Amino acid sequence: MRVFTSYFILQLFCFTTCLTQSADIRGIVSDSSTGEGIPFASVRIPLLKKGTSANNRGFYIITNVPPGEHVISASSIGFIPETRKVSIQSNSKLTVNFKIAPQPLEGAEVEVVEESKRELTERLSSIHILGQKEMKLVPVTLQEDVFRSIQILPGIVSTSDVSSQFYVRGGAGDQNLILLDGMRIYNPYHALGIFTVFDSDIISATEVYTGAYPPEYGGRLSSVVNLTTRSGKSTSFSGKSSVNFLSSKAEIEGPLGDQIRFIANGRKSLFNTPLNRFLARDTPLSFFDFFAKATIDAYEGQAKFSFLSFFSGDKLASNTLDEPDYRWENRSFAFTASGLLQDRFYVNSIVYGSFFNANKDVKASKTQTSSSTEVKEVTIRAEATLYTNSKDVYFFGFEFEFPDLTYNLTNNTGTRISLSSGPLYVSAWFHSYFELNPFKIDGGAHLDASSLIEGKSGYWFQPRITASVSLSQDWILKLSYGRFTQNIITVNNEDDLVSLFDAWIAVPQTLENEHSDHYVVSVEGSPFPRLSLTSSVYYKDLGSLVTYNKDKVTAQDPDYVSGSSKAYGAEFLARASSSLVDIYMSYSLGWVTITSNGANYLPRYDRRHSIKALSVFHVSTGLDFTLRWDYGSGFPFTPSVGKYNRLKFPDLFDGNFATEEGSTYLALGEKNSQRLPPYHRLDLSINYRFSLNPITANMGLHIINVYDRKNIFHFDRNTGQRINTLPFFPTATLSVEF
Amino acid sequence: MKQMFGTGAIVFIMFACGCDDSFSPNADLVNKVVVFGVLTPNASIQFVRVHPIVSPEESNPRNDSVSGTVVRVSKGGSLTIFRDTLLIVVKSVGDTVKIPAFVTYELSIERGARYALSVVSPSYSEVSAIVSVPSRGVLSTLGNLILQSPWDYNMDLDIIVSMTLSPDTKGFFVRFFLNYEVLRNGTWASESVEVPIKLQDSNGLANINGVYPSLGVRTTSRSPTGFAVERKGYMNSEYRKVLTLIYAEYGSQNIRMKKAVFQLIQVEDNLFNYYFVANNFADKFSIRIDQPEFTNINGGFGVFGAFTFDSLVVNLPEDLSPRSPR
Repeated sequence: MRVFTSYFILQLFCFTTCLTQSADIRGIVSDSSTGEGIPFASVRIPLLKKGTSANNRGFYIITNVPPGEHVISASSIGFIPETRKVSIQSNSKLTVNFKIAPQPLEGAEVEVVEESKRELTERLSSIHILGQKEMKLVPVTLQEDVFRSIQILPGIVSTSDVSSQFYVRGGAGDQNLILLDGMRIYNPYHALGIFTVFDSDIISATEVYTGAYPPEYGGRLSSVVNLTTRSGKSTSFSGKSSVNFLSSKAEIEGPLGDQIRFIANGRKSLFNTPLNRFLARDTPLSFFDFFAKATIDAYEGQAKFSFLSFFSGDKLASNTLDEPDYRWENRSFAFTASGLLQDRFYVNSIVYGSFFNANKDVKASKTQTSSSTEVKEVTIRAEATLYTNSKDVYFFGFEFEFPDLTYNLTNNTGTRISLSSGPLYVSAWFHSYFELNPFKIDGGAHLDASSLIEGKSGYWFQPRITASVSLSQDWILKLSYGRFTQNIITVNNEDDLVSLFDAWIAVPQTLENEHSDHYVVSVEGSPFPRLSLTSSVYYKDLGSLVTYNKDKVTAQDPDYVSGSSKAYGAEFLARASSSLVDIYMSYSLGWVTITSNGANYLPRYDRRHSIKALSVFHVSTGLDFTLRWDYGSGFPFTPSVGKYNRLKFPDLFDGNFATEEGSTYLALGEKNSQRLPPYHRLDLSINYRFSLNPITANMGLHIINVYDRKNIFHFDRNTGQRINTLPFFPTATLSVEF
Repeated sequence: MKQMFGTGAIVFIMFACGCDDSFSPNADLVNKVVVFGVLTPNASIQFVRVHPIVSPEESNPRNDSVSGTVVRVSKGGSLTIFRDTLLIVVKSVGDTVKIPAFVTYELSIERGARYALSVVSPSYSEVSAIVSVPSRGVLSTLGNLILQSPWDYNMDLDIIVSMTLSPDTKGFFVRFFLNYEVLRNGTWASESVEVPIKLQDSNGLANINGVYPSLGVRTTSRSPTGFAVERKGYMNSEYRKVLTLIYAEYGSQNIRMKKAVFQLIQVEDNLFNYYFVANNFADKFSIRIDQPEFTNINGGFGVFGAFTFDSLVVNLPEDLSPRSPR
């Protein structure tokens, strides 16, 4: 660590001394049809063998360019590369903005892994970047969904068809950090978790980190999903409307003057019948979501100010008094500012409020209890990127997070309980990307100042590092390590089949914050231009995990105790692409065990084998045929091992227990010691795009579970009723764009 | 033709894959017995019940016997073998249930002692359990004067009972009984009534609706050398209400008050844990809504526990008939 720190300081010194002698080229790579910045676009000066990748807003900078004339090119998947000839003088700063035109998807040969993304994935491990194209490849279940798309990635497990909730490399569901343009979203699910609150049309890029993620992310133990939204077209007004069997949506975007553009997108549920069929029960659900964003482009587009708001709401109102009503909603507001503060100092800042509340009203039900939860979070976050003469890049940032967490419930005894906490979480981070022959290193640390102040954890300093080394021209070996903490958790029972909403609470004061260490080794390569292969092995040590105290008997016993968990496994991912077909295949092998109160058990999301295969056939212009097949070995469950009459001793202290008959009690075996049957399912999609000027339409026919596999979702031990996940289920979509 | 055959084969395989995998949540029946045994020094007979567990697919388990079972309870070097018997439970006229049990009259349970249970039967593995019987609890009260002259003291005063618990005690509670004699047909007959913590309403002495003490966890240290004292209080007002009911029931001429008896019930860890879990995990402060499990029978299900009674007696004047308070 000392060597690393010395190197860091030395590099910073070199940066400041060399700053004035260099020429820089910087600018924005944007879509010529919309004016939107293209995330992670690639910008190169081929003759100099110099280049860089844009950030998630399309901004790039190439430093230390020798004076003279150069050919510079910009490219991105799905766009026609553009080349420019530029002339640059010493000690100057040249702005070169690219507006590259989208390439028709069909029939276009695309690289499997784009150069710029490769750079990013070279720096970091366990990262997957999905653009709009990749998101739309996945067959839809009722409607397109961001999280369903990321579930094609290795290491990500979903416990059922009816939930978009996911578990990453043996981590629990509340260990995933979900960010929308930097805003933390606490419950990003609609409709019992069937899909997320984010319409995929507002998302321009999705970064998914399944482990050992970089220091700018903190507060969660397992993964990060960072969604970057679109800013709207700057070229012309346009609208889009679509309808499917469940909901309709409308979107409008366009410029407001020279420097301002906006996008507004809303969805509203329409019909319940498909959902009823989907869930095989009456589900009187209604939902909506709305996203609006206005962006001001300043300084030739190199500075950007955005105001954005996001709302979503769900209501599940049962027709009977015995079944509870549920309601939950998200409200988020943010102001973001990003741009070059100085020549090589790019700053991105955000102030936001993210509010979530949910309520369960049991009405006349005697078997359930009421509860409600609320999260009010206000956060200030700033991060900076410092570019240097060399390829070294430095990243810094800090965050002040003010969450206010409330959880009200009525427990088994009918007692109403209210838990509330309003902690302040302060964190800062730094990391640097540099070369230390033969390694390329991205290393730094996340500092959890709140834990340090509270004296609650020795894990306030969280080093994170990825070192990559080229094994050959086509193959890279990467070694990653990261330490992570989490100080808020959800109180849902980990054995719940469907969780309608998550109730968040701070980790109880008496317990250590949750923490984990990730170790990842991966080998990546492209043996052929249109084939990329990645294989990783990981070990995740969750040294502190808050678990239910299964031995709790009295009020003096805590509800939660510190447990631990260990997860390890291997992943293999292959992607191939041609003008006729895109193929994606992954295999994951994983083990996860939780230790609590001295007992070891497998959590219910422990999946030993998982295979995901996706192929998209570009049949003809505008016509795509997609097949997706998923296989997963069975999840663990706790078996019933017998029945007996359990005595409750009502008259024990009056001197009699010997003649009590007792009541029937189902004895369970070792927790999660057996496995459900394996899961597999084939989905099919046919999409046809056509234009009738000025309208572009997209018609889709989607069939879920083509061969009607009976995948088990739940078995009620008391009634013997078996509930399966989705049956053979055809749906259709129609969207119109003008 | 080949292509058609290939396509047909693929379709066939796909639909074959789609077939239902049978599923049962039931594992093979575990080869275990269910044992319920509660020792107490306050009884002359000790019981242990042993039943087989039945398949989870059976609808109603029965309290059957396990043939050939031998039940032994040992303390140090002494061993007691329980005898099997059938307990007859009369549910209603002509409707009886026979419950197999193991009993002994020969085992005098010693406070503070440790007992080991062993249950051996030909068709099951041996199961065992250990229990420590709470030692004697010490009760005292500063409320003698209130007990003996309730109408002379403020009704809001508490009759405080203090107790020192055994280190083996996890839970306890104190009950308050009034013993008196009633003149019936020329002879005095003994009766007893329990005084509630809070008397809500009543329809005569036989129908008192009130809040009675129940088993709760100890709040003091379990150090054997400590002098931690638990305290419980009964309000004079409730005591007076019960006295009023007694006298209203029989008339002041037919009542002779005898004793106030405070009964301390001490429950050791295993029985306490099992009792709380089996009776719906009643923690008012818990944010959990699931149910934990508990057994201390190694290799089986059920519980082997112990509890004790200790009493404090305060003699009462014969006449405590209600009168206007001073």
